[in-house]
Amino acid sequence: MDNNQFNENVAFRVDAGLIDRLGRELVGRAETAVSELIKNAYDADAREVNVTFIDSDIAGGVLVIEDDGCGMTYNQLIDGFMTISSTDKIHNPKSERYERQRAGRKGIGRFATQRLGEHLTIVTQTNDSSNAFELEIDWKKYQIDQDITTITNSVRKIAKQKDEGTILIITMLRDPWTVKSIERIYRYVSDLFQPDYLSDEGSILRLANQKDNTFQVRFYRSADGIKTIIADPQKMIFDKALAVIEGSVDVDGKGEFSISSKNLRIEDFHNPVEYKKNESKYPNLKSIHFKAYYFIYEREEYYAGVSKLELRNIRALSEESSGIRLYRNGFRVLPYGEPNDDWLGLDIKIYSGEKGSTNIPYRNRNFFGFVEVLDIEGRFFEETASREGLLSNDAFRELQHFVSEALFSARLRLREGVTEIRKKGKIKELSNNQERIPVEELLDRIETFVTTGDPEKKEEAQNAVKELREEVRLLIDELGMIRVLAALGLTIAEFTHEVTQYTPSINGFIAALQPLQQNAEGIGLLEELRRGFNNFISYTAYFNTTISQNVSRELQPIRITDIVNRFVSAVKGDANKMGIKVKSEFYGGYDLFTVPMHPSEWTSVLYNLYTNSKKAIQRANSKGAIGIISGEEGDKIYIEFTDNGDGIAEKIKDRIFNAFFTTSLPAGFDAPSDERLVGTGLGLKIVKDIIETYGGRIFLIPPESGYVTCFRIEIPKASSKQLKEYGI
Amino acid sequence: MEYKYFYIDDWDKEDIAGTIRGIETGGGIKIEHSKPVGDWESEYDRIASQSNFHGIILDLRLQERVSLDGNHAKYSGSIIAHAIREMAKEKKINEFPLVLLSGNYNMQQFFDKTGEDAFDLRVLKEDLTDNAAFEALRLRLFALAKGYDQINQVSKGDTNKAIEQLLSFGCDGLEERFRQKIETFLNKPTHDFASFIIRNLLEKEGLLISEPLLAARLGVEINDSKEWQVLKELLDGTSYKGVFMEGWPRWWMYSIEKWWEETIGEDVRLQPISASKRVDILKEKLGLKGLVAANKIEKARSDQFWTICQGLKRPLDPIDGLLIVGQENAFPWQSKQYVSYEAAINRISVENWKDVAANEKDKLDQLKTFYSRERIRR
Repeated sequence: MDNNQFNENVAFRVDAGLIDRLGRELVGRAETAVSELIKNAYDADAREVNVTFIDSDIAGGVLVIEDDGCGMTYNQLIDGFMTISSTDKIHNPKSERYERQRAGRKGIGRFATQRLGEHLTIVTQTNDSSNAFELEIDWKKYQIDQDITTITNSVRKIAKQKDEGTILIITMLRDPWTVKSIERIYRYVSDLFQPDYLSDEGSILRLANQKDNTFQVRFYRSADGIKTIIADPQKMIFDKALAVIEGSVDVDGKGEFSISSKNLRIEDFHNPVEYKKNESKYPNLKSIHFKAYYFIYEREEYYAGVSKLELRNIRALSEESSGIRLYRNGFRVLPYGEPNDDWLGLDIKIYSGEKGSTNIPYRNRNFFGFVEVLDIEGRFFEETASREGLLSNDAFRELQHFVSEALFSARLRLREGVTEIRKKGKIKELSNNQERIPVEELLDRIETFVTTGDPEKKEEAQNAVKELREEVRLLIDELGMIRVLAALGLTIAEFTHEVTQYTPSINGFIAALQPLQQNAEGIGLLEELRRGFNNFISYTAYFNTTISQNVSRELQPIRITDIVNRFVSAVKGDANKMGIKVKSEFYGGYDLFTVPMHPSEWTSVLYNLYTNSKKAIQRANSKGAIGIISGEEGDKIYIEFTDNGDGIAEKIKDRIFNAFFTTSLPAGFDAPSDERLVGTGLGLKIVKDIIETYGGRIFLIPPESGYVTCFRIEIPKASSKQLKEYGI
Repeated sequence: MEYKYFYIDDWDKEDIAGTIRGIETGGGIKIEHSKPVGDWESEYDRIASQSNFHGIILDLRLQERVSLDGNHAKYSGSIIAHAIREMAKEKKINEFPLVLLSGNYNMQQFFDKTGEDAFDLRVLKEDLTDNAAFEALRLRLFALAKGYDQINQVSKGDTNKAIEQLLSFGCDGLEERFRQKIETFLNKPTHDFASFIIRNLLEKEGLLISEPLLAARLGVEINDSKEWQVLKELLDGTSYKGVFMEGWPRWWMYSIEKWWEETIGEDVRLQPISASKRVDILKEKLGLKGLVAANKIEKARSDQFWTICQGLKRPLDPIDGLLIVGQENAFPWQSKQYVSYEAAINRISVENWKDVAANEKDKLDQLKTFYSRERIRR
């Protein structure tokens, strides 16, 4: 205090120690520091940047970053580089020559050099200048307890080294830079720019882009006087991906995703992603795009034209560079998508209630992807001061929600494709050995080996084990879902039974209200109430009957006429409300008995088809018509279930019976388990399983005129012996 | 007059309050609900000492929810009913109507048919779906309570007089075998007599006919005929005015035919003419222009309707129908029931008619072959 002269006007002063603090704290990691400097070169319209590490295996080495950008004039050097927190980039968001969207905004490049080494030399020259300037900064001089303005650095005019551009020479590097770490930084820097534009806006705004060959960065390493170029980091071979998932949120906040996979024969475009149940649009999210390449490793049989070795290489690559990265206005934002970062919760998400997951690994390492965030004005997404992440505000949380939601929705589609390919693969495998080997036979083979110990049987036994393991894995997946459905079924049974017991009392109140009504509105409302409740009763009654039929587990020949009539009268009320006409027709003889089945199985079959039809009719927005046409043909009973909904797209026609095939969206992460069961993609699969259990089949046929979709079920007729056996 | 029923159900009052309200609406019936006592001896004593009600409504399963004493009862509604009938026989208590009101599931799972006779009426809770169902039940409860009083009080010394009094119908017009049969019931306990009346007279078409059959026999389509109510009023003299009349609106067939003879003339008999002819005559003779003749069911040839198809519940000439099962033991005064060809081969509302009679099976098979349908794809 003693050395301060009294002055009526006082100003803030800055302690020189701040530089060190800023350098260390604003630029946390060395990689970030290097990338900041490269961004600066980009902003200066450089076309080429050469980064050379000299004798850097141990700390104390030299780093030279040389660009051919437009360089700095003396004024720019003083007002820009030497002025902390200069605002040039705010005033001029686009570069002059290439109109590049500028990368750095907070102007912390100088601190990056401080973070990297103790000493900095800048040599810079512009096209118009006749000489270059050399500025030397010894960061060590910036010690605490010194006024920052008292520390000066020398600037010299020197001969031009090149036409234009800036050379940064950082010496006394604080960290060692080995080949490995240079490779890593190289990879990191090459990922600095968004791999490609995902949106038209991106290309209009001229965001940074890896495909932009007006900007090249090369890395060199010089040791003992020998300079070697560091090889280009291995570029991902994206076209090898098993599936590509893309998504976007438009300017209105409406989200959607698409998924395509040649190998899995999936092409599902423009599926909506909703923010919340009653709030489909994202309030703070606009102009977001993402693209993710999905891989399942060690399953080369899923891929066409990808070798085991290639897949292994990709897997190795995934150790370091998998994940979903985030690019804001063209530039990578860390740490999203770094190893160990799980910003989308892919690794920790335990998706209870969702089975089939064992076959669809869905961790960060299964993805190579990135998100394009366009927010030039920085209104929604704000980077933290350390440039390590975005502020966790509403927009960011919505972004996490959207990408994660879209990826998990896509997973439902994947599940179906994978399950199918596994089945096919298995069948193919087996058909190579001529015939499908029954489980019993496989068990016999193992038993033979175990009991005889015959070494010649060993391989056969091992194969049998492999086969069984695969079979078991498939079954466990399916069983998991079936268990959930069964539990739900029991709950519904109990619930329905309980609920029906209350109906007489409610009916009584409705009846008692009748004579009390006075005005027309009251009468109208009462009528509505009665009608609504009657529909409710006919529904519950139908299921109640189905459930009481389940009490006896006995199979019996099923008279299709009765099953269909009962079904039609049960759903009539519901259908009427939706403006759907349900019509049944019977052909051939009148005693259409199927082989012995369980009556409730027909409830499942018809109800599933009905639900699908209803959805299709809603989508078609048409005057709905459902026809149930039954009859006999030879030794088969058939039922054709036909509707005039929006039809089944040609490309998915052969997939609809697959387990887990669905066109529905997944329920939210926190949705109750029953909600998750909607659109499990098991409906038609269960229908098919039931039909096939009895030696029947279900398939699509061309509908009669007036209809759009037609499922035909064929099931064997009961034999006269069976009918006699059951006293019919 | 208001009749009071005691209603024992293990459900809490709030869960059945609507059922009670629904039944009471319209008046004449008051229902007092109670849970079972829990302990059988106490239950027995409670019923034996109660005297201020005219009937009891019983739930079948009384053991599902907790009883008044905090335990679960170990007896069912049928056990109570059986005990009541025995107490009455021992003259410990008066005879009064018993009504079983139970859920369908429990009825199927737990009701033993041997206990059936103790109840005058069995009602499924699920059937109480609309105002009409509640109204019908209310009227039957009323009719039962009133009817039991009438039966209990009638002097049985002169049997014919007693019968005439109870049926409000002269014995001359009665079918003789029926008269003989009812006479045998006259000296049996009240509930046996009541049961005979309900099951063999009121609930079987024959001597008495219900409204749909009345309309069918007159050839009239009820739903389309604005003046059906007027015609019904004209036929008031033929309606049943005897015991339980409030719960079972019926018409004496004997009186209908007599009325036809008197009003239309002896030369035109009712049965052998077509529905349209019957309606034409009614229109002409009575000036009821709003009457509309009923139509034939598909596949039927005749419209000389004399019965009702049990599947479609529409008028039918028995020659176009098939007898349904379970009528072997019908009394001679009871009409046979039929199902139309259409309903039979398509099994329409099969739950109402179960099956055709054994001797009709061949005919049904022939019909099925005859009407087999070939599909022409559109």
